[in-house]
Amino acid sequence: MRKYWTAFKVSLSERLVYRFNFFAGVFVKFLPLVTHFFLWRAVFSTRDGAPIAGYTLSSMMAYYMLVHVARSFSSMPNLARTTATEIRDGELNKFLIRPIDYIVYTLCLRMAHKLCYYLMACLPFAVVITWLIYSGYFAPWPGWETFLWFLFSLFMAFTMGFLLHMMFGLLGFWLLEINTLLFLYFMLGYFFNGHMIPLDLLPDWLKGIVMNLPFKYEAYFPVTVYLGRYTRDQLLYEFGIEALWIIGIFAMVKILYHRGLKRYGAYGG
Amino acid sequence: MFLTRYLRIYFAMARNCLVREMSFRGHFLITVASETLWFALQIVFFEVIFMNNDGKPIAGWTKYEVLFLLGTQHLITQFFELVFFTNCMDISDQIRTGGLDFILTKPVNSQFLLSLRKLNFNSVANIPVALAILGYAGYKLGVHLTFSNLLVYIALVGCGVLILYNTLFIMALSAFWVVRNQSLFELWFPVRNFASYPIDMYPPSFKFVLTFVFPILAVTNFPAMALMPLTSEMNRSVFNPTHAWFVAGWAIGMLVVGHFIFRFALHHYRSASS
Repeated sequence: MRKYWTAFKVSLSERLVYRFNFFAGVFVKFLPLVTHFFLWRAVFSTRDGAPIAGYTLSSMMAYYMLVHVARSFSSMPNLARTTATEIRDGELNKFLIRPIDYIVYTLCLRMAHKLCYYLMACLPFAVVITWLIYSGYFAPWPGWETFLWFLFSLFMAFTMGFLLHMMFGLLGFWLLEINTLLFLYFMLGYFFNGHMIPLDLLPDWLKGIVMNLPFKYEAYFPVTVYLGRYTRDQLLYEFGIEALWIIGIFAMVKILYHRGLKRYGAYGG
Repeated sequence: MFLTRYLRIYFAMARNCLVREMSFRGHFLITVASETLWFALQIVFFEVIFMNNDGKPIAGWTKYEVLFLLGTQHLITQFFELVFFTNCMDISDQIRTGGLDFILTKPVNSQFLLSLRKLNFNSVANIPVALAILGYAGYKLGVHLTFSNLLVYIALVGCGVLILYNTLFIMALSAFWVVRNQSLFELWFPVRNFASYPIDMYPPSFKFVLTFVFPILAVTNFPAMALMPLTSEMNRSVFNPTHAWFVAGWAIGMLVVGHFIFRFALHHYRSASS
């Protein structure tokens, strides 16, 4: 356990070096929120503010804001690419010859990244959310119970995001070049996880597909938990399905890793 | 004489890039597919909104007017990415690694070589896609093509590409002073996204800034407006010739300013590692 704690600490201090880059990035991150606001304001003004699929302008803004929060848990910048590169260039050797599990080690790095991210991001996020609440463009407080479910769904989103990215990264055992595959995954993910538009707005046939894929747990699900769109029974059901997905994908990651190691040529390194 | 020489050089560079691109055919196909997919997702986004709002116009823009705008935006960005984008992204590397030496010592205009060296042929395939969408939306809108309005459209698209080029070129030149400016690349996609919305949904202050100060909306909206016919229940911005002169003025002005900044910045260049 100590060795993973060390990995966590090293990664944390390494991350904190890039503070400036981070604050420059935050500004860019909130730009889409501005266009979304004006776009949806124009849409709702044509219908006298009548809700669309249960969303008012305020809850729509809350949706897009909370998507940022949820994605900050579930997105893993460069995880898949790094894993694939380490496999291709033989960097994986240094983990194989040490008493350390590659997947657990990567998990520690990612937890450090996330912690570091929240340390710095909580201020800009708090400012934007407070500003939205103050201007009346946010969802009402959902109550403590729902809020705790929301926090739990964020934790699950982190797990789901980590496993999905890991799975794609491990394909590097078989594919030499995975960048374009990843690009396709990110782009379709952007649509399937509800980042682009709330999934409730999609036509029924498409909703039938998207609602049964695991991607929605990366963004759409936590957000709608906060917005209080589930009864308690529905919540338990959804969390159950999510847990099944996580177990399934975890098994897949394990299988890919062990099958992959058998093929692994350990070039370079 | 002068022009034919530069055209010959340009074709030679283009041929080199094409040959190189064609040796990675799988990569080429997937890149093209993902570009097309991204465009399709933007169309789906607006389609879903219009579907949920019973097809009512947004800020006075009907579904096909928005589609026409998206087509125009795609056309402009694809042209820009074909000719300029890769080169602009490469500038800071050239400065940092001293690769600029090889460009400065050639008996050709340095800005020409620096800005047009590489063509990104992945974008060529998406130009017909943009044209197809423009054709479809134009047909639905009942666009009446004449020689003169087509000429205005093409000129405005060209000016839009030039404005985008100069914006990124000038920003990239900051590398002469700060050495590393990687956030440039991250800034490009949100900007590209900003440009694909109808100008009329923004409040007057935003409209003013995004048209006159940082003309990202003018770049995409004005050409589209130039071809869109007047409808009876119209309450969107209507095109007038002042718009065209304005965009052309910006394009030429920025080209001149960009060139002077480049000349000035070269004084700060102290080669590296060579």
